[in-house]
Amino acid sequence: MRFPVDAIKKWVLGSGTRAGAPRKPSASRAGGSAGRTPGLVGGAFLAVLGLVALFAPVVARHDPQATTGRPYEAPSISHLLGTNDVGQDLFAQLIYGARVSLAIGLLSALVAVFIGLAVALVAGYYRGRVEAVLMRIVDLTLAFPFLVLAIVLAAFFGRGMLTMVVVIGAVMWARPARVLRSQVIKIREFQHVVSARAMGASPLRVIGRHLLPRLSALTAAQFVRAANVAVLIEASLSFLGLGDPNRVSWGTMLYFANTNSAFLTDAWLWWILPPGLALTVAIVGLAFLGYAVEEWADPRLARPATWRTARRQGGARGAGRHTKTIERTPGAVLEVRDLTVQYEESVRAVDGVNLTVGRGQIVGLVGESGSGKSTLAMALLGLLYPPARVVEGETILDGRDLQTLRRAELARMRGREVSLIPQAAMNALNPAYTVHRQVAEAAALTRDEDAAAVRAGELLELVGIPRERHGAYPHEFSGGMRQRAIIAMALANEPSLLVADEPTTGLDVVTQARILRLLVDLRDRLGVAILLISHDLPLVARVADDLLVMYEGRIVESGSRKEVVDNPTHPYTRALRRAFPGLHGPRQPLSSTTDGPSDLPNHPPAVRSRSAQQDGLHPSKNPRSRVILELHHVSNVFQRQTLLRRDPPVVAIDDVSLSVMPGEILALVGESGAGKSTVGRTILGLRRPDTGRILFEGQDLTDLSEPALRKVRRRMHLILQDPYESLHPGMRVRALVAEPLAIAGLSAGERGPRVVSALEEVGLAPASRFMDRFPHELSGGQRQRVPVARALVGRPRLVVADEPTSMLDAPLRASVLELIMGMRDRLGMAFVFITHDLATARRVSDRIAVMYRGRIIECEETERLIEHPRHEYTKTLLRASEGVL
Amino acid sequence: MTAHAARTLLQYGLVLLVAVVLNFALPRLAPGNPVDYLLPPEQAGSLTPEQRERVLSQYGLDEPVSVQFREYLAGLVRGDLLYSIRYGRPVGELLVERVGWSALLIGGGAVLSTVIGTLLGFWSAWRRGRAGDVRTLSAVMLIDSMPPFFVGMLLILLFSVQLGLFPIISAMPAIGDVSPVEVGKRLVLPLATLTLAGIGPVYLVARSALISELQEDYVLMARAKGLILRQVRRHAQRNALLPVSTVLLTSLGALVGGAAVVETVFSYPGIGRLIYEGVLARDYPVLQGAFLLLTIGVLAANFVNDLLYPLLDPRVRHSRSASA
Amino acid sequence: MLRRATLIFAVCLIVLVAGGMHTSAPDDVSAQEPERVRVAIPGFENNMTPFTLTFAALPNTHDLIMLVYDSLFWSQVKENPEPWLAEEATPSEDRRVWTVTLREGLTWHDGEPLTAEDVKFSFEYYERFAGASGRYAHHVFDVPPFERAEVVDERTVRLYYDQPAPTFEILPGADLPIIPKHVWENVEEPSMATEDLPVGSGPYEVVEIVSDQSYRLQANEAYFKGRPTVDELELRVVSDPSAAFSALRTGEVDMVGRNVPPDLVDQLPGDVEVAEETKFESTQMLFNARKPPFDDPRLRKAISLAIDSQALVDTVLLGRGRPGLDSFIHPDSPWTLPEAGHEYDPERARELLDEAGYSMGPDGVRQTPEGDNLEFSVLVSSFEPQTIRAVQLVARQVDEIGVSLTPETLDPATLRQRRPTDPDQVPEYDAYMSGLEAHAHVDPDGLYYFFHSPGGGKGFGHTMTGYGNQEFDALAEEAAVSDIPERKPLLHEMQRIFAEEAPAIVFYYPDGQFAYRPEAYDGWVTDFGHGIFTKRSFLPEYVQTGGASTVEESSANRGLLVTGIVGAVALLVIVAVVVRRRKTSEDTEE
Repeated sequence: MRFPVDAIKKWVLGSGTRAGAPRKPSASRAGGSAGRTPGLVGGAFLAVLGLVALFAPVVARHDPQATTGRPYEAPSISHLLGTNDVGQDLFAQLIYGARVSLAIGLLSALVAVFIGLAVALVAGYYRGRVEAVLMRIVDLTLAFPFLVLAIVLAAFFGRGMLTMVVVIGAVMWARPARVLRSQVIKIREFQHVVSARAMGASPLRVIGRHLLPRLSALTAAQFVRAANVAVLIEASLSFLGLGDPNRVSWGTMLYFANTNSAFLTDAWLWWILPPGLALTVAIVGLAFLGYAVEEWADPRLARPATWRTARRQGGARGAGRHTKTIERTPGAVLEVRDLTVQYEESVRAVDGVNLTVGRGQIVGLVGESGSGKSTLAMALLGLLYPPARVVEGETILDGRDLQTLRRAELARMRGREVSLIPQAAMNALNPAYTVHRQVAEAAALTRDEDAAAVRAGELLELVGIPRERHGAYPHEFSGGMRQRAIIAMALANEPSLLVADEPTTGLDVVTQARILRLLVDLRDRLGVAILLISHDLPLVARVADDLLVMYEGRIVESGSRKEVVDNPTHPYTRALRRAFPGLHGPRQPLSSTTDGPSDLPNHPPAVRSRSAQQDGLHPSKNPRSRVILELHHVSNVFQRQTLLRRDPPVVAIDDVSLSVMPGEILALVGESGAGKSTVGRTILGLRRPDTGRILFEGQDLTDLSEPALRKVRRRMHLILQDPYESLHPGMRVRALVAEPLAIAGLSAGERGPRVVSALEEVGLAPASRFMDRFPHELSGGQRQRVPVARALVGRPRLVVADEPTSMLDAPLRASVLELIMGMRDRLGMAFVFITHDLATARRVSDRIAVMYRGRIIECEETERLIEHPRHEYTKTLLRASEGVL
Repeated sequence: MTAHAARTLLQYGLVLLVAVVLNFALPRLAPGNPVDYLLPPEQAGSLTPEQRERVLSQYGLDEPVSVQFREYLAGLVRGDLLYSIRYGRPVGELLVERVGWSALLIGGGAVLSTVIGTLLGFWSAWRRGRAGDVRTLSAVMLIDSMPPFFVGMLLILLFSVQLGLFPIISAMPAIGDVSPVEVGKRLVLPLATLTLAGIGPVYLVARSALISELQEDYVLMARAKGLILRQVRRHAQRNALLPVSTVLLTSLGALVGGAAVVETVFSYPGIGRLIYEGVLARDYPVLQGAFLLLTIGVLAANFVNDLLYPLLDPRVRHSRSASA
Repeated sequence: MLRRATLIFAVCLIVLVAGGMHTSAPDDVSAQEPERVRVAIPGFENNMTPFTLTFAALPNTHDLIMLVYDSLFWSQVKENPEPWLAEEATPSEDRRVWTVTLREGLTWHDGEPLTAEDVKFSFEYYERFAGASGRYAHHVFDVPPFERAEVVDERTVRLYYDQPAPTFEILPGADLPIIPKHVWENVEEPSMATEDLPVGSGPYEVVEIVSDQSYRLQANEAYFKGRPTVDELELRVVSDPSAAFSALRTGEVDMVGRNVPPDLVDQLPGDVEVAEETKFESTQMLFNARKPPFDDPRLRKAISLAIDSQALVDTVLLGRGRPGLDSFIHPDSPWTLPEAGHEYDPERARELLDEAGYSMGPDGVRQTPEGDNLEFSVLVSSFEPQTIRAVQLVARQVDEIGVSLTPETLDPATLRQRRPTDPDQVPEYDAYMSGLEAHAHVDPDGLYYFFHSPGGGKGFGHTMTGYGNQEFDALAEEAAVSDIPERKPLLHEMQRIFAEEAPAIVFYYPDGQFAYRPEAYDGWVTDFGHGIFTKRSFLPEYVQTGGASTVEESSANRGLLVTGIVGAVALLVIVAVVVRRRKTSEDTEE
């Protein structure tokens, strides 16, 4: 089994991009990183110095401290660099000096990084006041001139090698502490760390097993940078006479050179220059190495980027070759003829695509992520970056083939003839400028300043943003409003074609519906042609006139909306259609184990009087012991606070009450930000509720101590959203699945068989094939089954699944839902299934609780809730997911 | 805004308090005391115990530490920084004489290194990974790695001793012609040394800040929206300035430290050298006064940064409530 | 564009350096008419009054004070100092009462007349504030012990001493600066009086002080020894030795107060001359004679025998100095032992150690009878690199006879804290290095003062070595009260005892070498024991004899230098090549 180097590298780097998310156009794999050459040079410098230091006796013929010649001898054969003021051989001193300078440099860097890492871990892990106090100390130390501090400490505590190391280390720990702490806070939220904490792992285990490995790269970079500064401080201290003159080091050489006014004599050449340059070589070696390691730790710094977009082979140059007239199909705004885009030699992202978009027409382009639809969009805009380039084909817009235009001409086309609504438009607005100014900037391309400002106002109102909000900054807008602003910007110069790449991803169902209605409305009013690209077939199907299905760079199906939706010819289209469960038609038969849906819970009068608030509590007539989990009026207020500052409180969940029976799946449905995840985390005790009580198997968890709470958590389990992120890539499947058992304290012998049975239960048979694999060596489907196996191996009484399927593509989603339902039916486990998708909830859950703005507004047996929802918001949710607006 | 301002002032007050106590305690931790330095046995002859007492009392060093501390605090309140033991002159006066020189050196160094570092950093970021970037990166790192005192010695050797362009002793000529030319001539080499030492950190931060900004979606949108390269560049660089302003703050400490070394090499009459000699002479009042000045300087820089930050990054402003 | 700029900068750095070493032309120094002379002094002495000295300007501190003030006689370095403020001083029969008559028409810088009243006041004021200026005061309250003063008339004062003060003319006569009564009589805290300019009677008056940087002194027209030859003296504070001498090379200063470092002497350019003069400085190692095993004279003598002080002079001083004498007193001092010398005999040292019971231990280091290794540390100030070098060499020499010596470098304040001044407290240290000037070697009571056994409130022995020897003390006490002819044999006998018991070992006596620019001012006078920076260098009476002997300047060998520079260039080029241009094409604006 070869060691998973690149997997570890990818995981250690904490690469944030989700599996399969389209890469930014400007990033490209090819070409060396900026850090490689300096890294090699730095490494070479240090290697030479290290060797010289190691084999000093061999290299230097003389004893550095013996008087082996007359004082102030000029360089000669016997003394390569001459002698100093007492006749000691300077060359020997230079060689032996390497030992002290490097030793002190590296040792004090070790001390500095050790203290820094400890402070970072404590501050990053425990947060709250502890973090605030520590960080204030870090700021104070950083601000204090550390060289002056070093001078003061060196003067006080003497000059021994050890004291010097401690003094320099004590002065430099603040910078690594600050850098590493921000990294710890980031990693702490990674899903495999949250899962570990949810499993009740002790802080020691979480830090040791999960946090530290991911910090290693950055810690190494900080170590090298600290060594760089340490060598400099040691030299400065020695030069100022605060080092130990009896130690042979470059700093002391310069000290004696300076006090003997060497640089007034010719001696400066062989007495001052060599140690100075040696110091520079050591420090620059460390700096280069530090930079290379840092770049390895954060590849974004490295990837070479050019701002010259890729042009078709002979495209720009061949423009003059012939201006053959291009036959145009009448009424077509955009015609793409067998367009092919190639990355490295073999990889064709877009392979011979043909499509036409007529005036005022909406053409939907559907395909899974990685099918090349985004690359096609970028090709249209001429925003492809090396190594991607168009190898053949034409893209004709209003009679001109974009591929033959020179970059300047194409740049003028962008925003005027064709404009783009980019992916994840959430952060496509510059946070530093007001929304109005950015739209006006676009409009200013075709008109003067004032007209552009007026135009921007009109556009923003056109897309439904009230006038008084135009002057706001992007961070003051909701996701939906930012999307509307981007659309306004795209329409600034009355383009004839609008390319919308995943315009509704990341928005909740209700806003998605409104954005689509806006696009349709704009098409009708302005007659603009729209190429709508998305992975969500039903969503596109609602509005598109024609539909195209793209699979691995090729169009596999095209036709009018009716044809493609009602009788898809290509097998892939059929699979796509099946993956989106409709809301009507026969529901999966529920297994018979549950004792039927219970009626509306009746409550003591005091609670009932609350307005539309419906609690998810079971009717009190069921004996308490049968109920697995009860939440009574739990609310949790999120308030960011530092030592002295408290931001205004934000209510995360407000007066939530619910209960779950064994063998029952309660679905928690609501928009993102409604507080679903907060409820999940509060159940597991990862967040302490501010008010209300939580009972698990009758035991009140609210005021339990942290260790006691950790014991209880062993009887619960948390499944998180990203299959890749929630598995520690450095652990093999055997260790991953066995982690809950290890935390519970079972011996290796006891764990083995239970892991095997768990794997087989989730369909990973024969278990032996998978036991020793690393997560990256599993397929998507296999990878998603491991967390489920991990969930059932410990036979927890309650599993909280937080959006377990939202990232999976359709086929895989169905199999996971079956697994979950299997666990409920066969093992009688209780589930809290958190999702934003009502359709999925309907398919898997026994009861559904709808959450809106932190409150449970309705909780009902699944079928009854779907058939006749009571609360207005639930109705909108239902309508949105059925696509009926 | 006032609640926030009150809170920040409270924080600064707390830091100042801690600094005041530290400034008092740190120098006294050192072995040896100022009177030993002042009256060396060889020169000052043997002092009978009572005579030694009298000298100690002159500087209030014979009282218990708690009394000294109260006196020190009382002095602070009155704005009197007591008398330097070594110079026998009010510390306030000593600081005033030197703060001008130091401000010129450190302020100039900070401004120059920031401007040059940021321009080079942005220039490199636009060519990230290609020849121009790698060469600038290596060149800046090479210069940044040369120990400041070594650079200082080289500059003295080259420009003062060999070419005689600049004076070696940066002290002012006795015949007090404080003409800008004189000040300028004495400032050039120390300032060059300090600036060279300061460019590195700013360059690296500016470069990586702009590189990460270039990855943001709004830059892609700016291009898609048809803006010419210069406008796109302005968008990204505007946001990359944020991290640069914070690094300027944290590297302030390093700059003052560097200044101490540079002032010693050039015998430049600044605060750095005053501290260095104060440490040797265990001149408590001078150290207390100088460290206090440094702390106030750092807090002021912090405060300016807090004021500037919202201007640079609207997200931090406490204006209207969160999204509708 | 910017990138090329950094490369160009690096290249021009190399070219300029390779341009070769030529002496820069001195800037506009007025040829003969010496109306302004600039001197670099090592440190800032506040407002140059005897009570506010910081001794940062050592070794020039005393010479600076004597430019502004006068003493009754001048130059305590000679057996019979020249009458100065005083015309003559006649002792009583038993040498306990001295009647001093002042010169005619003496005035202070502010025009007030200088009278006997001022002399009386000076003596009393120094005794009262002994702490503030120990350097001068101890010649008043300590050796010889002053009792009271009495004004006889305008120009005569009678000084009474507790015991015979045969060497009054030397000490305090030629050493104590007389201070104006009308200025100091109402000053309660002299060491804090740093505000106003000093009022003295000397050849120069201080007219401007820039704190920590410079002084401006103007000639005192009404000086009784005639108008000084230089109108204005500008004293520049330059603490860094290299900066001081490079300033001399570039003509920023005309004379450097401190000794020229031995290696620099033959590197100075043609237009700088070096004058030689005895400076009575010595560098010695002093034992803590009260702490075993260093209370054993045989051990101390053995260590002295193992030290080859001639080798120290050749290596550390490059031959510019004289090896240390076992009898301590400087060879040129009037009191030195005629047959003084240094016995270097490692073999005898080993015999002495064996005899004293320090047998050789297993690891080549001898052990005391009690069995612990003969290892000791020598405290040395981290700001005297030359002394550190000397101790390092001595450590290797002493290693030969099986004694392990390690130099322990400390910054000045810490070092002094390790040498407590409280007489009855036995300090912890083993030995320490110290430098002493004329004060120790020329004062008639030098030995008494520094090596008399502790206690009895007399002398300073307890802080130096704590060495106690009854016979030595008796001789010292007798010498203190005997006239010079009777005193000399006593002092010689004391030096013989000293040589045998070696409480302190003098490494060497550095020669005095002083560099100056003759074009700026050529009237420097080598004043025995003061070098050239003495008040006599500015008084017409002494100046006409012309400058001191000059040391011709040997040409630095150019050839080797060029090869060195080429080496530096090669190194930088290699670095540039490593970071060579990449293949990818250059970017052009869109």
